[in-house]
Amino acid sequence: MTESPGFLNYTGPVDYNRIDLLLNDLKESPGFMTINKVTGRRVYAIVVECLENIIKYSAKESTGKLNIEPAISVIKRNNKIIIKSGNFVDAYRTDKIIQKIDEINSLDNDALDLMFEKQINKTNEKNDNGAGLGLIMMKLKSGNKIAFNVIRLKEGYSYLELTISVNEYLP
Amino acid sequence: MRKLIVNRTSNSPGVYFDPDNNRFEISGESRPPNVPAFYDEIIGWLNDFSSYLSGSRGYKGPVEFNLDFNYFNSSSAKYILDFCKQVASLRAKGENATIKWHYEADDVDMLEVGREISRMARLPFEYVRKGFDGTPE
Repeated sequence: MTESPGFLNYTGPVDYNRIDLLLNDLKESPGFMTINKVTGRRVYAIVVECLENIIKYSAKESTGKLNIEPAISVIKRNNKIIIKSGNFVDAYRTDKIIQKIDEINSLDNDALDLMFEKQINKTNEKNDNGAGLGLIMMKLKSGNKIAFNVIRLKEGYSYLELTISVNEYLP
Repeated sequence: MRKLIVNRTSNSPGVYFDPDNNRFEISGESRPPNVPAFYDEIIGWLNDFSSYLSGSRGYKGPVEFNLDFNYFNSSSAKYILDFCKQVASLRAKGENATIKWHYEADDVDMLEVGREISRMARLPFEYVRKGFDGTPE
């Protein structure tokens, strides 16, 4: 197994300014510059969705007892780019997200395209955190199932870690 | 009819809608922190423009919207589709409104998503393939 470091590795608070900085770091990383542009664009798109999900869905842990920060990393292993992101989520929301991921993972590309079309044509709802399209897009762009790991914590929180493996595009 | 000009930033596209000079363009990267607010302004302008066209005494078409994104996030996709549906409804009213969808020569995904949005909006796009220097080939 070969692993090339040098894409992205960050642990800490995430806001929109931080997203800009992290995306610049990603684009300028030695690893990113060695992959082809199509793969690079797909990795970039998935990293954006992961970082925005951290902002949209992170639980506001106020007790200070759970000293775990959001994190994102991008590495290349063999012929895949592995994107891993993790953050606190309110426990009540965790099950909904897992259910959605399981549903997306169970669909083939044609069924996923239909799901995407149905979702994108839904009327926008006020206070809707996002379009609900991010997870679908992650699977479509990566070509692989979304892996996840949930650590159930006390105080009504979970730590949700997503792992998305992106196949290298072969022209 | 007023212009709508929004400067491009690191996370939001530039918008240049100028009926006086017959220039209508959105270009850049679209992942603004508040996607609904950003696109509500654009779609609101298009609604006003639609009313202006239907009541206009002197405006000479055609109206060509150039969509030249190098990236947009999934939240923006929904609004870009809404925008294209609005342009389709302009056409349905008899206006000569079209969309030119720009994509980099090697950006197979941007071309594909353009085709999908065109199909869903029921509006044929003209596709503009850009060379690596950013100019149409």
